[in-house]
Amino acid sequence: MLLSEVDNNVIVRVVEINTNEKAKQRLLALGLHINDVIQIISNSNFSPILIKNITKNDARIAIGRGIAQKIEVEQVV
Amino acid sequence: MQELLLGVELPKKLKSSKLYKTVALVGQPNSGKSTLFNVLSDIKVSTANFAGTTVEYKETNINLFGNTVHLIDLPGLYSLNPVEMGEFLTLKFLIENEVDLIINVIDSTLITRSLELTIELLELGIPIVTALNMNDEAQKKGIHINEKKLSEFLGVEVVKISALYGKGINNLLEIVHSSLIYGSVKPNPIKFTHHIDEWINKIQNELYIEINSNINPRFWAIKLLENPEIVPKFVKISANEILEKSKIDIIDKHKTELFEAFAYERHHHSMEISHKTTKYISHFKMPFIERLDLLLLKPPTSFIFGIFFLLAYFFLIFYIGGWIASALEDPLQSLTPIYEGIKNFSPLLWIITDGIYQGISGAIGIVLPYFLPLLILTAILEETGYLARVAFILDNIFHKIGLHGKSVAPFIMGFGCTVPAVYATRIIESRRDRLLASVLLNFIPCSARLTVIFALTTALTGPIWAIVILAYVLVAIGFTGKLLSLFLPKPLGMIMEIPQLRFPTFGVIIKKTLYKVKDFFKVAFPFLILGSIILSILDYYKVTNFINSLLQPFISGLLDLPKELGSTLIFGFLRKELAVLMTSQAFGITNLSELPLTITQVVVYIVFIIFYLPCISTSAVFWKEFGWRHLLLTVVVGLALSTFSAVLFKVILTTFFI
Repeated sequence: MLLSEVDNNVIVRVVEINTNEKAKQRLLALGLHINDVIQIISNSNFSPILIKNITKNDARIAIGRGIAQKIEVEQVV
Repeated sequence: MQELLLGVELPKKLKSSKLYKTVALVGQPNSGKSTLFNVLSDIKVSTANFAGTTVEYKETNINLFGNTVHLIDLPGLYSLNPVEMGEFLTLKFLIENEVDLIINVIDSTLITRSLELTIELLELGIPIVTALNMNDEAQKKGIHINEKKLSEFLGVEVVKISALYGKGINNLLEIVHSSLIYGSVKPNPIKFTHHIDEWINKIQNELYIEINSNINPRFWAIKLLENPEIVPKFVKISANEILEKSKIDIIDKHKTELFEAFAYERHHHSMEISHKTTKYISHFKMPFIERLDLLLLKPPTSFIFGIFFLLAYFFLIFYIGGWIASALEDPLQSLTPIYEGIKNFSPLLWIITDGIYQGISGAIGIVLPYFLPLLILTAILEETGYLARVAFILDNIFHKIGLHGKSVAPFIMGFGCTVPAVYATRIIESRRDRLLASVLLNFIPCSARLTVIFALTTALTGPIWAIVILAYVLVAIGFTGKLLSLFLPKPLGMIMEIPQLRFPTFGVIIKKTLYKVKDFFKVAFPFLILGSIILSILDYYKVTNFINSLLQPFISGLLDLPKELGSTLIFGFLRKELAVLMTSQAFGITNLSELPLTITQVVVYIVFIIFYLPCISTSAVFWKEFGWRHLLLTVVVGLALSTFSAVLFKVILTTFFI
């Protein structure tokens, strides 16, 4: 499923990033990699999607809805 | 990308000094570099803070155990593959200058991600000392890093510090001193997986570097594969087919883009190192700060807090600004008689001195009072990290006008003065967003224009019209943005780190504000003085009525305004609030309420003044920052918007109201 479709507080694993190269470089630089486990902190259509990278115990990253629709994730049970 | 790097010039002054050793602070944004810089620069020999071409550098000489060291705080970057303007400059600086030592500042609470940059910095071959900053916060979060082990893995000195509380600074300075004096060993970069490393070594042997630089040739071999666009011309490769063969082989084995393969390798190393050196002891319960942060970020509470803070922000600015302005009014006015004597000596000289005095009293009496509280409040917003939250909240609204949240900071600054706001657009990554943001920025009513609105509406039409006009201004900015963004490529979506909420440190806020005020006096102030001198000379030679008749067909014909207002538009270009002062002079009255204008005429006049031209200081900064073509676009869009809005208001008001 797409990152933009994940509900609040759900934990998912990043499967694929199909954004353009510049966005992909920025995501990688911010420490978001394939197989990273992330938690969705806020996903409402009034603001960008806020995620926290659990594998890295990292800061939160805000991702615009357009880009979140190009990131493939799977639920981590 | 290549031309972007070439298009970036370092400020001429910014060369690493030949006499002293150069130490550069390099780290990811929000890792506390500036705080560390401020702490280190307290033991300073001399400071020379200056605005770089695109991003402000902070540079100073510090006294380190007797010898002077040249310390530079470079813009933060996430990786040596630059995406943002600031990152280009840091990379370019590190490549082109003799940097003797890098202090790699790391936010210890984000150790894993920060190590990815550290691993990349090792490849540069410049000696490094790693400073694990915010050590106290990491401990509070149950993160314990074994710096001895980390030092072994990275092959560089590692020291724990807390710049905010000044802890561990002496230890850091001793290590920096010893590595500068005894020369620390060049770091040995971490090996990639076998077959990639083989290719790198093969490429490295074929490399021919024209100028001697302290950059490890291996770095160029890696970048030729990973990000060839940033490899400068002085790096040549004799046998090109090796490069091609290696690219094909790596892509074949990794099934991904080259830059992804390298990014993944460094990510893997940093994970491995951080697992072996960092223990997450207590799983901390959500501290109060994080629960508060969720309220500030998650809708709907985020909007409630957002509106509250925005209102408080403006109320404080106008309350404090108004108070300072009135407090300064009498002393400034009382100074006028001093140079009264020159009048009978030579009227022209008097006019010029009066012009200079008006310029100074205008800047200090009108612009500065609103500018100072705005700078302090904006610095607080930045220091606490709340500005990133505002960008997060407003991102959707900004998207509708073709921008994204990150351009919030310049827009908020724009309410104070457009000049610092134009500098603030440097944090916006893509040039496209930056150009659009700067055009729209021009229409944000600066403190001078707000003075015009409030002065005229309170004197003649009542505050209601001020709100109507301000509402119209925001709508107009939205539409213009929407319209302009149709001609521009699609905006890059928002990808932004939301830093920790932190208590602001008083010292950093004061330093930031003083730095910006000094910048304002260096750039905008001279133009304010120049503007008033030109104005007083024009006035002296009675050029004003010539201008009035020149603009008469436009002013009276199209806008139904009395022709005397024509010349005020010229003065408005020099300084916006002068338009108001000139209206009273144009009609030979002292009190604004005696102006012979109907409500419609006042509203039409204000609306036109807000949009028509950027003031002279803004135009100068635009020219310097974006080039004359962009300035011309802004002027054309401004004139079109101002004429359209003025006529629109005239038509509506005359039909429905008076």
